[in-house]
Amino acid sequence: MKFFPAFVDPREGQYKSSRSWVSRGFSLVEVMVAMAILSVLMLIISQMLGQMQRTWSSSVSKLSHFRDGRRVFDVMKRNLSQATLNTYLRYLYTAGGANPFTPFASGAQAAEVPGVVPNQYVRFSELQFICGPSQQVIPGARGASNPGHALFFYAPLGFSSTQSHLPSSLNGRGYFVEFGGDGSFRPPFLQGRVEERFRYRLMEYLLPTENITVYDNSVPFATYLASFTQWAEGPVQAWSRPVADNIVGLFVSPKSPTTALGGGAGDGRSLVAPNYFYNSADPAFLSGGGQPITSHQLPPAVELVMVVIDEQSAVDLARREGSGSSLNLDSLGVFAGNASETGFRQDLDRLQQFMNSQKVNFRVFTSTVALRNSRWNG
Amino acid sequence: MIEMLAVILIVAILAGSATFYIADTMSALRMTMTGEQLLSIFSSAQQTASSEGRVVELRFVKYQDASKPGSLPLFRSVVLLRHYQAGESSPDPADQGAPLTAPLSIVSGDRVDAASGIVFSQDRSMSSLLAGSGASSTGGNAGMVKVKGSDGQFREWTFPHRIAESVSVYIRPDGTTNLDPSQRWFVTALYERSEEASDKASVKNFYCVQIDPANSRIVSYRP
Repeated sequence: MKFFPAFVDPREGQYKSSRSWVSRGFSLVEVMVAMAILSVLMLIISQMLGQMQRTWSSSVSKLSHFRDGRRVFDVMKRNLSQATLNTYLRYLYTAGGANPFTPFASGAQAAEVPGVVPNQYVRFSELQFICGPSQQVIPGARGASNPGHALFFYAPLGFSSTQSHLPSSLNGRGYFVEFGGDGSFRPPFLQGRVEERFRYRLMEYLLPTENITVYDNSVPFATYLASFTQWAEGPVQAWSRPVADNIVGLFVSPKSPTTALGGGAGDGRSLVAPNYFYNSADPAFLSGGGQPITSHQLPPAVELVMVVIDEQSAVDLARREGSGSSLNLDSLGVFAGNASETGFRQDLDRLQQFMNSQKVNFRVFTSTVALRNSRWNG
Repeated sequence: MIEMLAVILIVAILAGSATFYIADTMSALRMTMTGEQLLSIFSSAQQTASSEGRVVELRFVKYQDASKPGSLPLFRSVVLLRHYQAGESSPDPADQGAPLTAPLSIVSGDRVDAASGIVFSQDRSMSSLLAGSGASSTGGNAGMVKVKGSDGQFREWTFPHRIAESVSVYIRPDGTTNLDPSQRWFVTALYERSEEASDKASVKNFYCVQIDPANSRIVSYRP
């Protein structure tokens, strides 16, 4: 260290270092130390800002997507509660004609078939209520792209693409999950400017009043039999549009509050929809064996389970998996096989544990919807 | 002197390049802000219609920017209106709950004005909603428009600029809209200079909001 001799400042009468008389800048070491401290501070501040921004984005993403999820869940519940079948009693004729609902032979020159008489009354409706695994319910389901369950029904929702002021006209309505890109329904000018988003989406099937075909009596009975094993008003994809993004699972469990259904053994779930499948228009009973209690009747209640993830989690998944359908809940095997009250609760727990293990922000919405038009007396 | 000149030169170069980047960042920020506000007013309309069980209108207003003489009349603002039908109780406290004799619309929340230099495109390819192809004034409420003042009193609503045109989207409580369900409906915020340019393919920065005509699902897109 260099020594500077002390002397008296004549202006102030104090001892000062002779070094103070010369104009002194910062040494290289001082500048480097200052810069190092400044860099560390800036690094810390930028990291803090980045963290704050990530937390903010994550919160906004969660809030907005769970809000979207809640909104569509409420809409789905409201529409489902209005499901209707307009069930009535009609004759079932003895064997002889091609169609057991009529005494007439089929064909243009329809004539009454001799000896064919009404045999019994059966419940009947041209309308349908169907829910269960998507692959069983949706005609032309797209394999792994349609995981979980699907739900289709008719309700007086007043949707028409050509008419207005028909507030209670009948519509077909349905919900299912589909994985895919948004290229077919986003604005065309985005092509090549914004990357296609591959997401799980809740699809809403909206069949306008004027496009309902179930009352068309020109359809041959054999066609009727074949089409009502699934949702009969297709093609489903043509009438469906996305209603919310990032819905990774929808599960539907019809149930009854009573366990005393026709004297069978089981609980309110297993007796109403064994294997989580319910088809009010199942034509199987026409082959004999008596009309089951679910035939042409709405279930008294339906429990809905919907799994939503937030946008940031969806973006992370898309980054990891590209356009492949990841997070497929079908691989978990929940809400499949024999339905029961205990099994349902266990599957719900397994679903929650699985989602926790996937390190995604998620929410599971559950609710039981009472179908007010159900005339169940089991 | 030479040292000073050198320092001034360096500072000028740094300031020049920083200004360029800051201006770019600021205009991008303004675009984001306008887009977020647009998304927010759509979302607010959707929720209001659903929660209050009434028709809600989003009115896009086209006018000339008074601060820029000679500027073109373009869509620069959006207003959210709640619709009340004749026979409903009047929302105006001065009417003491008397039934309305004519339809009434109430301005809800603050008007969304596009930030300076940004407009809502009326080009058919970028904004089908504002391109005059069906979103206009069908199914609306032709009655008076009122706004609630800061003193809590309702008074007739007047727009501060001379309106050249307005286009409305109506969202019903069940999520349906007045838009043709077979079409895709969207509106895009972009820079005014991009709107005035004839080649929209070269537009790099924009904020697009899409609404589903049948279930009012709202999605935003940003490059």
